[in-house]
Amino acid sequence: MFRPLRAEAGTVPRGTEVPSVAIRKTVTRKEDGRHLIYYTLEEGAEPDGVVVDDSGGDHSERAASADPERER
Amino acid sequence: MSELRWNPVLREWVVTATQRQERTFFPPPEYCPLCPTRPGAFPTEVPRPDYDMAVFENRFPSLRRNPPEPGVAGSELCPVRPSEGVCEVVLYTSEHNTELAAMPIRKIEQLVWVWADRFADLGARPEVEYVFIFENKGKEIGVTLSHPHGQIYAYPFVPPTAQRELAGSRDHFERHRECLFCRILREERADGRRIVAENDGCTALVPFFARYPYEVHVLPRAHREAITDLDASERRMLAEVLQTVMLKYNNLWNRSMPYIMAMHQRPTDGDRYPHYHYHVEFYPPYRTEDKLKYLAGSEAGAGAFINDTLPEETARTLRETEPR
Repeated sequence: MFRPLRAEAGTVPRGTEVPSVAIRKTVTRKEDGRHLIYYTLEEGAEPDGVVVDDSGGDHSERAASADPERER
Repeated sequence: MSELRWNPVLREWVVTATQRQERTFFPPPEYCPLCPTRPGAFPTEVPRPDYDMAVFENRFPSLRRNPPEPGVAGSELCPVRPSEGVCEVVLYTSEHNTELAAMPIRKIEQLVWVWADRFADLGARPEVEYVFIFENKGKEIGVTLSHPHGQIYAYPFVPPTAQRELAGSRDHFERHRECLFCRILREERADGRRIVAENDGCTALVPFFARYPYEVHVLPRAHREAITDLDASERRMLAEVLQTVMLKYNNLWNRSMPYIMAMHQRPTDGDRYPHYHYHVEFYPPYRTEDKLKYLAGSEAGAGAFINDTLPEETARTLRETEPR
């Protein structure tokens, strides 16, 4: 059974269950500390399920650690 | 002020969250906090000038990651707890004037993947025992922002409705060694009168015991405990059936139908729930084209629902309504 990755690694391992969509997940934090996560449907990309992009946000966002929820 | 207060009579937690009184209430479209931040315009919750889908922590949460100490002292009889948990807002699209039913099927399929990702992330938090994914749609439901969005509450307890469903399905499993929902599905599909729509992976039906007029449940036909258990093809088929139900609702009276969409799945408290079956429930608030179904004396005061419609008839009406 394919299970989506937690935000702790780079990409979803390829398995026998091939999703028909490719989704990029970018984890950021807002200035007040709340998390803000972007999920982008990548048209034309090879289906990969949810791919985690922890390279950070844009000018007004601070790049978060791979998973902002793993604080404790 | 925010805390959990225990009701020893009903044996359930009540969340007090007075800060929510200050939440944004039907702003004009140009000040929608859920739209992307357009160049030169006021800053919204999403700083990017566009987005596909986005999830963020609610600015006015009922539950929060680092809650304040309770503002009131509890007792042995009525204990209090910090309102620990997470409340997220799920933005379906950057487009303000649309709704989930009108989106391309690939967008809805994407949303199923996002829901699964959030269920996995939030459910992994040690304090979270239940992840509740839902959408309130329409003013009639109490929505204060019209931008297409849903919500996720990650509770530090298993909420009462889930507890009742878990107890009922566990009891059936122990007595009959089969999933209660799988049996309901089998018997409903054999009967056929209350089926609304289905594909190879999911079935939409009006339950025999529907509490709301035009209530619809969507169940995967394979036994799955949570959305993360659905494989890729099942996620695609779930998206298709969800869209079919929402389009049928809209075409029933040729207007955008308000509803509550509630996703029921196993808790995330570490226990095993092989007896439970993932599903999605819709509760539209109307009993006719222009009459609302109110939760009045019997429903609110006694917990006994009075349904003014026959499930067999509402299912036939929905079945015959085209999902255009």
